[in-house]
Amino acid sequence: MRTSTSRPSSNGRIDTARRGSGTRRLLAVAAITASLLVGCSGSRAGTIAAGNLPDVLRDKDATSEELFALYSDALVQKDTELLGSVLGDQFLLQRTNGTWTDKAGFLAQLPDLRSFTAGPVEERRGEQTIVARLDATGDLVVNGVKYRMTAAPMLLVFEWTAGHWVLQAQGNFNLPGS
Amino acid sequence: MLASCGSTPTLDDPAVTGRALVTEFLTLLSTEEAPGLEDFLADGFQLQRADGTGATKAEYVEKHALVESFEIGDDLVAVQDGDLLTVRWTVVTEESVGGAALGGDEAPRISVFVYEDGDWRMVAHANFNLPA
Repeated sequence: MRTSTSRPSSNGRIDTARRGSGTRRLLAVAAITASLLVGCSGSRAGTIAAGNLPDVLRDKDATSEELFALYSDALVQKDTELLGSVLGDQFLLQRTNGTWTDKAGFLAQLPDLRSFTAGPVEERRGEQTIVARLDATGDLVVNGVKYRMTAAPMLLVFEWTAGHWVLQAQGNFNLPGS
Repeated sequence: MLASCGSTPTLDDPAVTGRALVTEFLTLLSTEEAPGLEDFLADGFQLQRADGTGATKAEYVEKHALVESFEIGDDLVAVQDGDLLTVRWTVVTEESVGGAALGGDEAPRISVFVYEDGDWRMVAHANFNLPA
């Protein structure tokens, strides 16, 4: 059976400077979780053990806004361990300029995201998927190339698998240039 | 297809299936009526275009792109993770959206399919082609 519900997120914007309490809570959970995991056994290299994942990843009712905030903050902090868990093993990212990467390539050469702002998220949910559209503005450098700090669309696909959300696909529409 | 995990086939070569699916998608868009498009799209479908516009399934079935011709590039990558198949690809098209022509240069796409009710259905599609 195929089911789907439309669940537009709140009208609040997401940014690295001004965050709601929910996002601060997520960040705190992520930070505490990461600190507790130093030396933790049982997880794959570069990932967090499933039982220790941030609550938002294990919450099937998590919104794409919350998932995107966690992902973006992990990028800003260059938290490769958390990113290793946020990204699905079959993650693919496509950029407007034709370049693309997979999970291994992405983690090996993380973009330099210094700050970001995102507009309201348009979200569609299926049984195991969330497809999210949003406009994002970021202070971003990819492979040494500075990207424009203008709002650009983004498409994200999250999959619910093995009891948590992972990001499986991303389309970035921002363009290189200053 | 090699094996099956639950009801979802484990694809022997995801790129072969991915190429067939994106070919089917563009072929469906070759007529105004686009018969089969509604069934091809998952209910949670969303499309994002480079100009910032997008569409849900209902919106896209109502007003979809019209593709006059297309040539899919050799550079296609597809990966399967259980019920999800992600395809990144490039294509040269003659197409219009709402009567406005898109550029004819080769441009990337990324499409995601979910296996539902015995078929792969497109659940997300990013079209990086800019207006002409």
